[in-house]
Amino acid sequence: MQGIRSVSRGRRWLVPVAVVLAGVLATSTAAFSASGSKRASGTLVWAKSFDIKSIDPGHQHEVTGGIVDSLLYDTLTTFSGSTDGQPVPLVASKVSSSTDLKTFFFTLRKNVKFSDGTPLTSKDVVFSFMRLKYLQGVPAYEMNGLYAYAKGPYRVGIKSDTPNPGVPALVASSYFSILNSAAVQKNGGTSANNANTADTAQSYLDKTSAGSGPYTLVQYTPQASVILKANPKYWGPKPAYDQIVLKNVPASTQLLELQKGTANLAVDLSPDQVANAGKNVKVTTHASSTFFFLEGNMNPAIGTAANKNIHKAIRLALDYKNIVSLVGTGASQIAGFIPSVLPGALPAKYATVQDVAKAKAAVAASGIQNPTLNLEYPNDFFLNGLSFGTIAQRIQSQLQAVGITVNLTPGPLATTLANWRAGTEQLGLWTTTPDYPAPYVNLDFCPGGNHALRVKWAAGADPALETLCEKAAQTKLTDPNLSKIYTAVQRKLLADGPYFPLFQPSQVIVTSPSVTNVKYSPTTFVDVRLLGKK
Amino acid sequence: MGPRDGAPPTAGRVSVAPASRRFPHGPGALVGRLLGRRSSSFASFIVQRLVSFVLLTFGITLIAFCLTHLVPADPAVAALGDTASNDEALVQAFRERYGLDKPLPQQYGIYLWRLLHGDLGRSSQTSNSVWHDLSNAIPASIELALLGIVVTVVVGIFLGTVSAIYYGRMLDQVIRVVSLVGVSLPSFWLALVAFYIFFYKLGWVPPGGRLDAATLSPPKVTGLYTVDAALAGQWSTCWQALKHLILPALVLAAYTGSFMVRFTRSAVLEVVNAEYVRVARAKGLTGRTVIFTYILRGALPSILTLAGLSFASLLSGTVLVEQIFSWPGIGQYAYVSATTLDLNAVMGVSLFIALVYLVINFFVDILYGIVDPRIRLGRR
Repeated sequence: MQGIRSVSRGRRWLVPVAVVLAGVLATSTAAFSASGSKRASGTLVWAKSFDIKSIDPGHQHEVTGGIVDSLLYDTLTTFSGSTDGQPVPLVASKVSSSTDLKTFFFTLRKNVKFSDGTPLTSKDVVFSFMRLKYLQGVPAYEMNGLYAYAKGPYRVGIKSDTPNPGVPALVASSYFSILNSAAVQKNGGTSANNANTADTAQSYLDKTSAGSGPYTLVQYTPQASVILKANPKYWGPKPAYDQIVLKNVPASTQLLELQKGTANLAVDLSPDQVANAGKNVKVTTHASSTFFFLEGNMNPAIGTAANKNIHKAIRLALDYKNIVSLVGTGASQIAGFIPSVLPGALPAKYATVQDVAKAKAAVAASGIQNPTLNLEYPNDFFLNGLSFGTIAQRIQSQLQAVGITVNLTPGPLATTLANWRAGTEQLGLWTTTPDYPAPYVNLDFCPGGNHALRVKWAAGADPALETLCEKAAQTKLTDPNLSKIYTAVQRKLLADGPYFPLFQPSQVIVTSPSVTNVKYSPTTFVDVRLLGKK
Repeated sequence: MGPRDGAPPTAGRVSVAPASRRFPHGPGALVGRLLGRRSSSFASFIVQRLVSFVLLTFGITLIAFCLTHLVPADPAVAALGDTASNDEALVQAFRERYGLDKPLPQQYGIYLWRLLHGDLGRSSQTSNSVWHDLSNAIPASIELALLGIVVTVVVGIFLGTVSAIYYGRMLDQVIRVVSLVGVSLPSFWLALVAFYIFFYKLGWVPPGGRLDAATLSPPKVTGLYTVDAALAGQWSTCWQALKHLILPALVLAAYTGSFMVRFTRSAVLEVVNAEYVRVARAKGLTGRTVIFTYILRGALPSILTLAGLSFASLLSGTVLVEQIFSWPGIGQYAYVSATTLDLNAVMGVSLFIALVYLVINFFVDILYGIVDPRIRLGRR
C-alpha cells in the first residue's frame, strides 16, 4: 500500500476539513443546549397519539378529533361534570320529551354566543344536525331516523322514527357540535339533502372554528398539532388554561415528555408503562368505557362455534382472572355487555367464573370430536399498549385445556374488520367502546342488532330475549327500573348468546403535578373543561 | 491522454453505468434512432430517460393499482369503521363518492384520466384531495431528507476517504467498526435511544415535532419550515425548526452515512493505486490535489449512485423514525393510508416514491455526464 502511504503524507488538508466538521458539530451542540420548550404559563400541552382525520364535526369520528371539537364547540347536553352518568344541560337549559319518546324538545339558553359574537339560536342547531345527517360522512349514522327542526328562535325539536330515549345522551357527542350556521354557509356549508356533494366547508372548518366553546382554533397541522386559545367571548366559566396544544406524540415517548416537562397530559399509556413513572408526574387510573370480548359465529356452516354446548364450554373454560392479570393494574372482569362506568352495567356478582370440569362436560355433550376453531383478531391495532395477540394466546391455551383446539389467525385490522363485517369469522376477539355514554348502543348485541348480524344472529332467533331488548331500548336513563331491566337483558344474553365478555382495561391518565381536578370522561378520556392548575 | 487532459482513467474503478447504457435497446433508444441521432449522444440519452420515465410511471400506477386492490379487505369498511359500516346507505354513499362502485378497469381508467389532469383523487381518511395531503407531508420529508443527505455525503465521504488513506491503521479500524455499527443498528431503535439520551437525559435537543408545542408554523411558501420562517423574517422560528431537524436527521443519516463511509472507502481503495494516481504523485503533486482531483473524482460516479439512492431512501420516508420523532412526513402518511386502506392515498404515496427514485436516478445519470465526460460524449 505504498500509494496510500504517500497520499497520507499530504494529509494536512484534513485539518481544515476536520475543523469545519467540528464547527458544524459545535453549532449543533449549541443549538441543542439552547433548545427548550419554554411555554407561556397557562398553556396545557396534551401529548396524544393522533388519529385525527378532520376536525369538522360532520366528518370527524375519532377520539382526538372529538377532544378538539369538545373544546371548540358546545353541544345541547354534556356529560362534563355529570356525577351519575346522566347527561346534564349545556346549551340547552331544559330538555323534555313526548310520552312516546319519539320527540324531544330542547330549550336553548339565550346568552350563548359564538366566538365572533353572533348569538346561538335554534337555526344553528338545526343546521348543524341536518348537515351532519346529509353530509353522509362517517358519523352521519348517528342521525339515522332523526330529524331536527326549530320551534322558535330558542327551542329545538328532534323527532325520531322510533322511540329513542338515548337522544339527550346522544346529542352530547362531539358530532352534534353546534356550528355558527351563517359562517359555515358563507364558506360553502349546507344542510340540504345534497350536502354529500354540495358541502365544501370541511377545509374551512379544518382551518377555523365556528363554535361557541371555551376555545377557538389557532392552527391545525395534520399529523402534528392542534393549537387552541381561550375564547374571550365564552359564555360559560373562564377556562383554566389560556392555551391548549394537542401534540402528536407516540405512546412510546409520551412519558418521557411528561417527565421532562414538555407536555402536561397523556392518556395513551398502559399501566405497565407508568408503573415506575417517578415523582415528576401524577398518575391516576380509572375504569374505562371500553371492553374486550370474544364472540362465536352462530352460522353452523361457518364452524362449530354455533353449537350451544361449545358456547357453554368456552364460557366456562376461560380463566377470566388470569386474562385480566395480563392487562395490567386497574383492569377488571366485565360481567355483562355494558361497562361499569355506564348506567345499566351488570353487577359483578353475575360475572362468569371458570369451571373446567363443566366446560369439559359441555364439550363432550356437544358430540363434536376435537372441536377446532379459528380465532381472528387484529395484529396491527393496540389499545393503550395492549396487544390482542397476548390475550388470544392465553385464550388458546385455556380452551385447549378443555379440548377445544384454537388456531390463531391474526391479520391487519382492515382485513379482520372486513371478515367480521362479512360474518365469516369463526371466533373473533374484539373490543368496543360505546359511541356515546349510554347503554342503548350495546343493545346491538341483541339478535338482529348491528353487532349480532356480524355473528349471524338474526332477528327472530330468540324472541324472549328480543322482547327484553326492546323493553330496554325504550327505558329512559332516568327510569328507576333501568338497572333491573338491563340486568335481565344481559343475563339472558350471556346465557343464550355467542358472546363471551372478558374485561375492561383501565384508563391511565398521566399529568404534570401542576394540573388539578383531573376527572375521567367516557368520551374524551379527560374532562378538559374541568381541568384546573396550581 | 494524461489525467489532466480529461477525466481520470477508470482502472479498477467501481463502475456503475447509467441505466441507458446498461439497457441500450429500450424505447428511448428507439426514439433516439427515430430522431436520426446516435442513441448514445447526450441529448438522445435525455430523451431516452424521459420516455422511460413516462412508461415507468404508467407501469407503476398499474402495479400499485392492482396490488392495492388485491388486499382482501373492503376500503369502505376500513374507512367507516365497525359501527358506521353497518349502515348500508353510508357504505353505498362512500363507494359512490370514491368511485369504488365501478368495475376495476373503469376505476383504473378514471384514475389515469384524472392523473393526467393532475388530480390524484380524494383521500378517504381526510376527505381532502390527496395532492393537498401530500403537499403537507412531502415538504416535511424533504426538509429532513435534505439535512440527512448533507450529513450523509459530507461525513460519509470524509470518513470514507480518511479510512482508505489510513488503510490498515487504527483510525481505519475505528471508522470501519463505527460504520459497521451504523449500518447494523435498526433505525427505530437508534431513534428511541437517541431521543432518550439527547432529549431526556442530556436535554440537548427539543422533543419531537417540527416546532415547539405552542409555536405556530410559518406562512406556507415552500412547506420547509426553516425556509418559510426565514422568508417571513421569523428567525426564532427558523432556528427552532433547525433545532428540531437535527436529531431525526442525524438518526436517519446514521444508516445512510455509514453506508457512504464503507462505499467511499471501498471506491477510494479501488483507484488509489491506479496508474494515473501514481503518475500524479510522480509529478510531485500535493496529497490534497491527488486526493481531490484524481482519487475522489475517479470514485465519484460510484459515490453519486449511492448518494442518489440514499437521498431517495431518506425522501421516501422512514415510518418508524418519523413516528418516534412525531414527524408529519410521507412515512407517517403512508402508514396511516395503508392501515386505513385509503386507496387513493396509497396510490399517491406509491407514485410519489416511484417518481422520487426516477427523478433522482435521472439527475444522477446527468451528473455522471458532468463528472465523466466520456459518458457525455458517448464513449464506451
